[in-house]
Amino acid sequence: MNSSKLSDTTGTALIFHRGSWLSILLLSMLLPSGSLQAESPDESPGLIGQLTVEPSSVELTHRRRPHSLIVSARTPLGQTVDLTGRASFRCADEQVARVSALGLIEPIANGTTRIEVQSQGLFALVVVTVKLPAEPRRHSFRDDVMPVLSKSGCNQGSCHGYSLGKNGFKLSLRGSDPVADFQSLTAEFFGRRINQHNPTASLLLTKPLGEVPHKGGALIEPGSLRHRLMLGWIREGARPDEKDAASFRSLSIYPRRVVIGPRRQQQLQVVAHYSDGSRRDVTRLTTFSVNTQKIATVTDEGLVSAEMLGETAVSARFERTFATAEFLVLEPREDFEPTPVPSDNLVDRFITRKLNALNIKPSAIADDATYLRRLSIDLAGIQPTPEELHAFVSDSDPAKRAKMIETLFSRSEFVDQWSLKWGDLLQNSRGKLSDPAVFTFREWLRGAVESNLPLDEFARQVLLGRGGASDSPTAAFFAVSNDTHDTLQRTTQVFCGVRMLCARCHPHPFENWTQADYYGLFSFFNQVGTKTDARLPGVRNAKAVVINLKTGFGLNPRSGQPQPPRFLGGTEPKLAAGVDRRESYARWLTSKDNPFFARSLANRIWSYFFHRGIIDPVDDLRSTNPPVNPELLDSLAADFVAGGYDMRRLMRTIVQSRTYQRSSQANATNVHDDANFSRFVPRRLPAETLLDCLVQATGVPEAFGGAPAGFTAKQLPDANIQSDFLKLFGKPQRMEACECERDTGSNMLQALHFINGKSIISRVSSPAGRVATLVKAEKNNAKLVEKLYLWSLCRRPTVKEQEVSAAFFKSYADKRLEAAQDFMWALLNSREFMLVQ
Amino acid sequence: MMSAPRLAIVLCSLVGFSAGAVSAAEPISYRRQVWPILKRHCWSCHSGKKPGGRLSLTTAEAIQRGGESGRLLVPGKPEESLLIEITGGNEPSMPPKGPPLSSAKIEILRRWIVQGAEVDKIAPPGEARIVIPREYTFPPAITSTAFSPDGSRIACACRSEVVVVQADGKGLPLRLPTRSDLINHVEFSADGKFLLAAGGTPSRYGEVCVFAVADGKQVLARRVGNDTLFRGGFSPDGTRVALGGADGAVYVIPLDAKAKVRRFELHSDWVVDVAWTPDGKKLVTAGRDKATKVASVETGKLLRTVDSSKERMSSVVTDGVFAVSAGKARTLIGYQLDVALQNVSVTGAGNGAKPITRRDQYTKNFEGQPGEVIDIALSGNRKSIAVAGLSTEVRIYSIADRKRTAIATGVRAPVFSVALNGDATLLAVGGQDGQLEVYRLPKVQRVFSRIPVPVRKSVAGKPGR
Repeated sequence: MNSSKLSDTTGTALIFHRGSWLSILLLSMLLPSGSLQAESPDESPGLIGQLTVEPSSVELTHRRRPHSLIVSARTPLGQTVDLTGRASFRCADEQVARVSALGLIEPIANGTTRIEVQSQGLFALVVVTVKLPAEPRRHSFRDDVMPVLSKSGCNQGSCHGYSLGKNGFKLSLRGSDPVADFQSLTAEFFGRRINQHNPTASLLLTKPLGEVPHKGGALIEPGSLRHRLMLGWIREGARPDEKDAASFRSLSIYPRRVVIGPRRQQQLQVVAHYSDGSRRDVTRLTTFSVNTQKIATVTDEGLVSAEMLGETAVSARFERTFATAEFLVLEPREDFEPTPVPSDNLVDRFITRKLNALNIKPSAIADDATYLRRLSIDLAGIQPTPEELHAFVSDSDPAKRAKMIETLFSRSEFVDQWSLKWGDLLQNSRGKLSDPAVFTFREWLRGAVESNLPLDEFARQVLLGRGGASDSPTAAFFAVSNDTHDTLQRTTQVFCGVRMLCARCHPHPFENWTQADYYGLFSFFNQVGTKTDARLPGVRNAKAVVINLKTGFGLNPRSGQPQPPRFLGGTEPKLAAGVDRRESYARWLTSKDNPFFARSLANRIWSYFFHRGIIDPVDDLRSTNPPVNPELLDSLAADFVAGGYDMRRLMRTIVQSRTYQRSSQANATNVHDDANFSRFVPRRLPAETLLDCLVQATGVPEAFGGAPAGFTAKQLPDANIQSDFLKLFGKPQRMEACECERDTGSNMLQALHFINGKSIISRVSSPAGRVATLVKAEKNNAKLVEKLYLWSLCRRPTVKEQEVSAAFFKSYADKRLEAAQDFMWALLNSREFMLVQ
Repeated sequence: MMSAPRLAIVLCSLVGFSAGAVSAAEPISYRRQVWPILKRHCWSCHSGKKPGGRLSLTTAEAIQRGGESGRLLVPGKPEESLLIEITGGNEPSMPPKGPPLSSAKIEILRRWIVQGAEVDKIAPPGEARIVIPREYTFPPAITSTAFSPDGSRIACACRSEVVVVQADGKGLPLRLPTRSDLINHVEFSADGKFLLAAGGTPSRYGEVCVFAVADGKQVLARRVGNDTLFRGGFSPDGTRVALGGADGAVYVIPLDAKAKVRRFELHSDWVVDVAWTPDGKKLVTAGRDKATKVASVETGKLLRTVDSSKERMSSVVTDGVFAVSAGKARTLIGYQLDVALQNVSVTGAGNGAKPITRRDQYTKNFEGQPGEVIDIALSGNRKSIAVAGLSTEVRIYSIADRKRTAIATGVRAPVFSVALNGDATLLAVGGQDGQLEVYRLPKVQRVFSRIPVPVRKSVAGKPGR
């Protein structure tokens, strides 16, 4: 192949020769950000209105628990300015409370007083009430020591929270089991870790203070709050808490939403709420983390520094509960003109609102050719043919895009595309199922897509299957599972978008799921079993799903007690004995107020049309992984429910939106945005679509070993076929219920396969293929080039590209077929072919 | 711009803790200024048997010697000193984890080197202040108990001291202070003249003390290892003691202070208990590594790992025929030693001989235990054992037939230690709550219950500050 000449001349197609196209992709995403963070923000921006002080009044009921104040004001452009460090505080009655220069209020004696806050010529008042109990309170293991262990990292997974402990000392992971931790601290090895009679000699202190060798290093500063809390508890005898002590209920963070300029800082305040109604400032005992490190950083004390433009959540963890603050880092732009918010499409409404808040202008609407290719690939996994493209582009009907959506819904490829997707998620595979079961389930899925079976009914039928392949096609869903654990994890991940695996052995580290929640789900599914289907003798993997109604509830290994069925979220239904408990689960799952089902499906389906979900990863919904646009997801989910779980209706709402129609061309305001759907972010075609597009472009079909002849890549029953191409481009093996099993990444092997592999070379050089046919039929080089462009990239060449290709053909002199083959090879090797633009 | 981490400042100002500027003229004190920095940031790696980079910061000589990267200090020349090179600068290589040293701390180190980098004698970092209250605020847990051979007295380990009370509960206790933070084992010698107390200070040193019972004078104190010693006992001839160590080794310590301490490496984790066979030739050991092992005293080598439990072990005893061990797994198991050691040479290399018997041929299960076992006591005549732990029962068994002969119920759990007198007619129980209880067997009648040390009244219930 004579490719080097091409690389020197044409501009579009020739990325391989300029180095890795991956790095170009990366560069294009990273480069422009630098120019936007040039100058330093104004030292004292004009402030409007009044000071906001949080809290505006405070009640102090504990001698050792001071409360901080956060002082802020707003700029005319709506940015928050943290003034806490530049405010002055004065307490009216120092006999009642004292306030430090940095706004920390300490109780002195019972009474009421005021604190005057002053900054930048603005004033505010805070009312302080001190109500100390007559008897000073003892230190509490639960409320003082446990938070110190968490904050210092003692109980994290890599230290003593490891399932086997570290160096003989085990704590429960992130403090999930205070009773066990109390036991191991006070009683194990004759109380070697705590000496109440000589508190400072306690190993519990000397280790983290670094006074004796400690593998984990010195973690606690001498004299710090954490040191004082632990020492105080030991001095008072290291005793357990009183039984009736107030218990922790919830956590709140202030401020919840912050709009802030780059290189500015904001102090967070975290408050714990207790069962007796008291509030406690726990900022200094909270563990902070930032979801997107490059946007902002956070110190151990909760001071957030905005680094670059963008958006991130800052999570605060206290007592295994999370609270998050959203940070929007914006350059103040006085000249920003908000985009008018459309009302005709709910997607556009919420996306535009968000972009306006971010000072981002969305990209323009993509042209017809780009839109058609994008839509065809996303909805039906195919490229438009030159005829279809021509008909669409020349159609003058203003509603042609909407019409095209309906046309694609009715294509058989639409059924291929979405039955493939469900086949992946529900793991229909001959690795676990018999041939008849795989094909029956595949047919059922195809029927469901074709008839647009509402997804609630779809889920019900999947979850209630029983018997063999001939009794119920959907029984395959259960026959795939290794055991009940597998079933409950798959069901929860696919239909609720929640990953429960962690909670099998210990409380979930990033969410509040416990083993009671896990085994509560377990008990819905442990009546399900499989046996060999005797009606299919000699057939491999012939299974029948049986329901044993007598099965009791699953044992929660932590309590050792049977765990009654419990829905995600905590409700335990009253179930009669001897019923199929899956029915109760299916009813709950598909009820209109289920908080997981519609939301996770709407998010999942959204992700198939964009480069990411509104929550991403799509099957990892949890409070620490917030949606980028909560209002959008909420209303999309509500609309999905209101529309009767109609998948096509949901897809229509998405692909009709201007948001979906945006060009991938960035503008100055959205070039750094890759999370808010302000422009179309290109994605690589999935393996099957790429192969089917390649087949259509070259006119040379693929024969798959292990599947009926004539099947396209999307029609394959499962991944048990021989195809290096599909494997290389990440076709999932259907071993997991995780969306992540499909590899959509790019690597060097893929590039090499396109350059040298027979998938491309043999197809472009096939005598019966598209290139040979076109060369024979089309004698004019310019027209030939145009046809090659249309079949491969679904567009006409530009004038520049025509010029370059004319020169290229000329350089081959009379070897016109070879020139055309090489030319097509280059087009198929282009990034444009590989991506949905 | 906003101020730097404000809360850090809040903390500092509250505590009155400040890295403050050092005035140039002031002499730097190694003990007060330099050592705290080294201790906090460097010492956890640069200490112990295998210090990082072969640089130990534990002694003055070692600091001046430096490590495998050469000398740490060039007195008078901070710019040539490795210490400043690796901890200062924009991207310091030390400490490898965590934030770099603050500039104030670097400045202290720099000026200390300028002033000659003298290392004055400091208390070795292993030394901890041992506090034994005249009157306790909280009753100390009784971590070990033992009867005198004649059954007239009981020794109790109460954190850092040993207390000897009369077996009838009457009279004034004898209090014997030690230099150990935690005593894990007490025992009378066979002639009743000496009292052994073994323990140490966690993460610092192990220590053995021997007291003369007649006058309460300490006749021996030896330190070994870098963590406490656990349980074990006098050899049958009374010339040595064998005790478990935190480094996986058994220490055999002669009472003759001039004779050498022997160290047998047997377990991969703490050795929590050691028992001598009556012939003095073998040691049976139990470890936190879940194993029960038999070793030869002569060679110090392993003869056989007789069992490996699902959980850590806590105690082992032997009458010479059986070894009985137990731990967290709630099983109490006897091992018939002659069967377990068939074809295993006792005097030879030990390790080389292949045992021919299977576990089930020499293993005899006692009944299951109601909770984690923390201690097993052997009577003086080696016929009975008492078993106790996290449950509220103490159970007595005869070793030969594994039958339960008595049970004390309603005991205050957790029990840390139990002891039997010579003919198993008296049972002493020491708990975490500090109560020593004595029962007459086999009918299980309580003789007395008392806290052996003085405790301030009314203080225990009063809330703290």
